[in-house]
Amino acid sequence: MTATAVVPQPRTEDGPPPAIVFDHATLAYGSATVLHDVHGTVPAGQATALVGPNGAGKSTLIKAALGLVTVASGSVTVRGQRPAAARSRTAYVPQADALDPEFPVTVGQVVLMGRYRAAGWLRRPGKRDRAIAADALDLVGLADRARDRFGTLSGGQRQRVLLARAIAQQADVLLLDEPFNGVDAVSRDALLGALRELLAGGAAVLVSTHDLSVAHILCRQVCLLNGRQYGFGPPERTLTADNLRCCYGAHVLEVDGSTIVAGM
Amino acid sequence: MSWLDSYTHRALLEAALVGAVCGAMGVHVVLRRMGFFTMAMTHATFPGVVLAAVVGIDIYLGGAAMGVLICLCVLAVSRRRDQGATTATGIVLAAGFALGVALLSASDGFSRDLEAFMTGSIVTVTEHDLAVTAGVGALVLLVLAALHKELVHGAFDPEGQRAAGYPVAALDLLLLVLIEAVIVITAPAIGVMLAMALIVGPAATARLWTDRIGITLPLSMAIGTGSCALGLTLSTHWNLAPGGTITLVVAAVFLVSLALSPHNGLLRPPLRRRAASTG
Repeated sequence: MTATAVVPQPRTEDGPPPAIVFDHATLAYGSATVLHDVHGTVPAGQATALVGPNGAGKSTLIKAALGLVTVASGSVTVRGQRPAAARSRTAYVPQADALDPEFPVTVGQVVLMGRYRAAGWLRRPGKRDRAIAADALDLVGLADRARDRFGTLSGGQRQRVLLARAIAQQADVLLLDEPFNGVDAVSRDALLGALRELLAGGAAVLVSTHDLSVAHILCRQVCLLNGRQYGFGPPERTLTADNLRCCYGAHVLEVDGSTIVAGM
Repeated sequence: MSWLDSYTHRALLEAALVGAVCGAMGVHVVLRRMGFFTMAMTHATFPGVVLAAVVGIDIYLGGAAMGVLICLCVLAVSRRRDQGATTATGIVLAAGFALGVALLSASDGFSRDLEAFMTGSIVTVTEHDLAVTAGVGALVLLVLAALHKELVHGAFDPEGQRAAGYPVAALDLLLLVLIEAVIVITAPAIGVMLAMALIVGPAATARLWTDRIGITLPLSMAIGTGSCALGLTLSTHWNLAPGGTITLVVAAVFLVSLALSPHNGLLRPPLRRRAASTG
């Protein structure tokens, strides 16, 4: 079984400027290498999907774009800067499941956390920050839940609140860790709608997902990962049956001409 | 004659101050689920105090220094992948206490002072103790107020806070230092061993009554102050040990709240309970 590595799309002169550039990046936690030789570009105004089995290194790649992982060789640049230096322009959306549902915080307060950095140390978010947070919550369709406790919302709604928090940061690079995991259809559509608006506004989106249909309908590019890169480019070129079989092993089925990953 | 010349007045003021500061600090301890860790810190303060008494330096400074040092050890051990934080904390808690006992047995003659530090002696509080409590307590409250939004953000979503570019490790360390400072100023009142009850108790009680941090904080401070004042009054009335009585009052207030509180109460009407569980 040989993997056919897809060469990353060459950037054309008139194409969108790159938001994130992975240049043969090898990523490690301490001395343990997690991801080998990722090479590709996440352009502004487009969404790029990170696809791969559990433990493939999707979260690691997202953390690399935040400057929270050691780059053992090669480089990662965000907006032409070191990732850690570009954090004011990046917004991270964690998985809602990772947060304590008992925590005494309202939906509105969670979204307002997206304004804390802009408000600065020792200062409370002002009227303008509150207006930005309210608009962000409106964009994900949860304006009427602002006063409810975060933990009382469904998993999908909590995920939308976390996206609203990232929107409130007014960043132009969004990094989302499995936002569609265990999310109901209504919340899925709300997330997709909000992401499309952000993309139309020129934001770059890097989103990890198990859901190949999300990759097809939202993303112009896919980065297929499992310890190393199995493809980086348009979905029709990366999500081929051959590539998926190499990446996922034997869990790939073909039904009516479309590829399905089963048992993951 | 000054109001502070009466030892009962000094004791009451000390109890009120300590209750308020512990109440505020405790909210952050409870939000971060650090109750067990705080207990380890109180125990880790013990050998530092004994050592300081033996060497002859200020026992508060000695206790605080040892407490912070041991907390750093816990953090270092718990960062190793094969050791959970709970395991590391448990070992440090036992080892710290054992070290204190061993040092104590090797140094007769200091035991009276040390006993006061371990179980508290609020009726012998001096104006100097009061000044230290008020000064350090004010500083702790000031830092908690100034960094309120960052501390709450980090308690709720540490990974998100790190991603936003905050120095999360430095904030965590600052919180440990604040907890240690509160433990050390609480010691003269109810002793380091019972300080954990006064830090965690009022905050946990306040959490039972409300889901809003903005209300939890003043409520916890009020419960802390009230419990200390009530405990002190009862102890003088019945001639009981003040530290123990205050701790018993804290525990009683918590248990009564557990039974009566609207959100989690055991005694709430069955109809409302069913409505809450389906809604």
